[in-house]
Amino acid sequence: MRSFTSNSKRPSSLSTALWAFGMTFLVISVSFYFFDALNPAQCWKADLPPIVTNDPYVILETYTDQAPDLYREYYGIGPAIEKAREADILIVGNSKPYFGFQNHAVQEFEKKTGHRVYNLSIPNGDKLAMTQKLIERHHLRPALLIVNENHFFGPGVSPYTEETLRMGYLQALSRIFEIDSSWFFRSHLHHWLPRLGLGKLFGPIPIVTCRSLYNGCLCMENFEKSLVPVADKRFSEEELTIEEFNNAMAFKKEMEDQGTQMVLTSVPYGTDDVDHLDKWIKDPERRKWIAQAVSGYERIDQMAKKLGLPCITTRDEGLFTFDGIHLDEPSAEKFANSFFIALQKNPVFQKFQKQVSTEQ
Amino acid sequence: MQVVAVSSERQATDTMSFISFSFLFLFLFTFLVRLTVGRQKTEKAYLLLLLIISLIFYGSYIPWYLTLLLFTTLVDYYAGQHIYENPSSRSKKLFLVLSLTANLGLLAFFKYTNFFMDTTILVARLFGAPFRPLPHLDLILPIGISFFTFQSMSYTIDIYRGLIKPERTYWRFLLFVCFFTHLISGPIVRARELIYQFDRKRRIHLKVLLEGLYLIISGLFFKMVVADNIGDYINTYWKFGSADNMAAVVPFLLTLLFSCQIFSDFLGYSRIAMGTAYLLGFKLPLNFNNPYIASSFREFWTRWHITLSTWIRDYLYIPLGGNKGSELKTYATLMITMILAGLWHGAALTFVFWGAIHGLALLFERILRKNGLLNTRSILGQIFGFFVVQATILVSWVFFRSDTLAQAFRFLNNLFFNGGWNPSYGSLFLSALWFVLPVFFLHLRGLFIEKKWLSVPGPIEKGILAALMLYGIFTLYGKTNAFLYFKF
Repeated sequence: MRSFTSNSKRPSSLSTALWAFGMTFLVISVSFYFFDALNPAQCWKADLPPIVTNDPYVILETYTDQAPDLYREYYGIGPAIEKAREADILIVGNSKPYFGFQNHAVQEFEKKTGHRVYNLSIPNGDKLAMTQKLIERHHLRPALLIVNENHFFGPGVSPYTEETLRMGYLQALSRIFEIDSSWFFRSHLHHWLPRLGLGKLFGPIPIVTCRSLYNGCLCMENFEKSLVPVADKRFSEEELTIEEFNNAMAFKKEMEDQGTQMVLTSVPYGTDDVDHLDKWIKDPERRKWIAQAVSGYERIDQMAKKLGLPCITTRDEGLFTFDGIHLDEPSAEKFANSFFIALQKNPVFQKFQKQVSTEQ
Repeated sequence: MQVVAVSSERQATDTMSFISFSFLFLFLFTFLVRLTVGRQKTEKAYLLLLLIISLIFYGSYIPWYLTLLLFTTLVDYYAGQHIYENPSSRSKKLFLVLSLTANLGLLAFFKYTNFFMDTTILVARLFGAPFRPLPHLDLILPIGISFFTFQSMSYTIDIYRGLIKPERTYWRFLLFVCFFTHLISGPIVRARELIYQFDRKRRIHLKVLLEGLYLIISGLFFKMVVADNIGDYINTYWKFGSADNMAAVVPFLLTLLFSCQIFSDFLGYSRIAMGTAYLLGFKLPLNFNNPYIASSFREFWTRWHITLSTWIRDYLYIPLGGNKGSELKTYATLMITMILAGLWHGAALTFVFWGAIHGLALLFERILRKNGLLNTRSILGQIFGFFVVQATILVSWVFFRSDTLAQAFRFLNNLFFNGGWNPSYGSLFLSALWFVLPVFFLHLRGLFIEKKWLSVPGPIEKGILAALMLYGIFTLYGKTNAFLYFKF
């Protein structure tokens, strides 16, 4: 048999190659199609959480290092930032409120009160700087700003934010195009050729989530549930640094000047107690990592007092996280419902309603 | 005093990648145009289109990069003309120096300024001088600068040596340097390998088409399935290799995995580059030839990143003296060449060490060969040589991948002085090791073909392999990481 790279002029060698290619591809595709039918948990068909199929949303995947939602918000691509501008209430903070303000609960609150909410939280441990940039760049003027205090007023930005700031509009547009095209292609492809996870052999099946472009909330129905309970020990006595205090005061003044009322909150999260984590997380390195990631936070009460800001916290029992740090979907719904009930009872809400009705 | 590696580059990896839909559309458009040409009068328009596409490819994300590319090519184009036309050897030399200064100056400024500043301070502090670290210049390393400056420079040197004539028009020279298939990460093409192909007639043959597609599919497979899946493990767990008292098996497996990652990553890029160029009617030189079956260091460098090693041999090692002169001078030349080759990969002391290890290995091998103590012709000698060479190469990858020298030494300390097996990491690495298999079989097949135990793959084998690889690309792709050689 001669290679199709040889000087052979016989067309049969080319057709042999194509025939071998086609038959092999067919056989392997059919085999794995049946493998998928027998082991559905070990393959992935690019299914989305059911809630968002009719909403405009942005796809977020666990196996990309991209932040397409942040690119859209910062560069004003698509409806996200317009919706944030229209919102009466903005939620800001890091990944805790990003996952913690559940979509159903937010929509329920919006229906009940008629006020628009947008979750502008930025994950990956992001802090004040980027939020401030978004507010200034897009002239966001919410009547109420809910700040999740979790070292929020500290210095610095996350690597994702740094990259977002560096890339420029053209590159952001191009990345969004790449991500959207890739998703479009793969979501269709994987209905026929499922992405293989093969259990432990090739690692976990990637999680796909969507973030609503209407209210900035995530759909987490397909996330793992009840992985690690939120620990009882939550409020520490850690002192604010001078820099954090000064940043917070400056930001408060900035918000007051533009007529925005600030409220502090704290979304419950995992624990830094390694012994506690020991029961739930098998990997010792991951235990350490989670403990490091959540250690030393939670000093909202003293912070609110020092800054002279209202503070709304919830005391729900039986909350769980999906990864040891962030609330899972049912717990996020529970927390968000409790938060909005507490908010409506707080005097700051009456003031906010007055302000909104005056503006209207 | 703790010696730390100095890594001062801010690397830009944002450019259009081969693994992107933007590139796919750009390539498909170019390929469709290529299908319509084939007659002499349309060839010029086709080449001009390639030039425009290449400039879009390079400048699509950060347009100011184009100014650097245009600057070096303009200097080299005019220097080339003057070197060729000027009868005086002094003037020829002057224009050659001008070309070298422009290219190396640009490279040195963007790639090595902060590194030299840091290293000088570090050395001064080692000798007790009370210097404080200087603030870094906020430089972004333009992508592919190491590749296009080397290509552009080789053009003027070849004219100076009388090996080629200067190109008639600037735009054709610019196309040689910035042809998008090899611009970002090579292969490092020389003018005499590519420019003559501009005048060739391009006709479509199904055989060529299939060969190009096979190269692209295999390149995508090695990048998206092998390199990217292993890359995830390496990015997450490399630091474990240097953790306190880590069992030796962990750094060993990590090094093995990284050696497969870097090979697959660069092989993948090179094959995609060759395949796309092939489909567009050009042939690029081979860059890899089963490097992990080498049984001597000299052989390794004829198989690994071939276009770089031959460039360094022709434009650095030989001009520095090469094998001429005393043995001692040859050893010094060898060491300098390999250290500079290391530095070419990145402005960090870890790369200097990587180059020095290879330099020392080549030097030692040369001494043994000179004294008749090395016999790579016998089977036993080859097997012994294979294990020594590949073990040394594995050790050298530790320096290549580590962020600092301290991390690399801790890693090697665990590798050589901590025995045992840590069961909690066992299953983790066993799953990653599946991705080593394609690299292993590629080399095994290459070895068997070289030994003539197997014939060159025929259409059935290629058809089956292409189908398996394409299925793998669709269903087992990893998290997309930028090509490693984009950094260099």
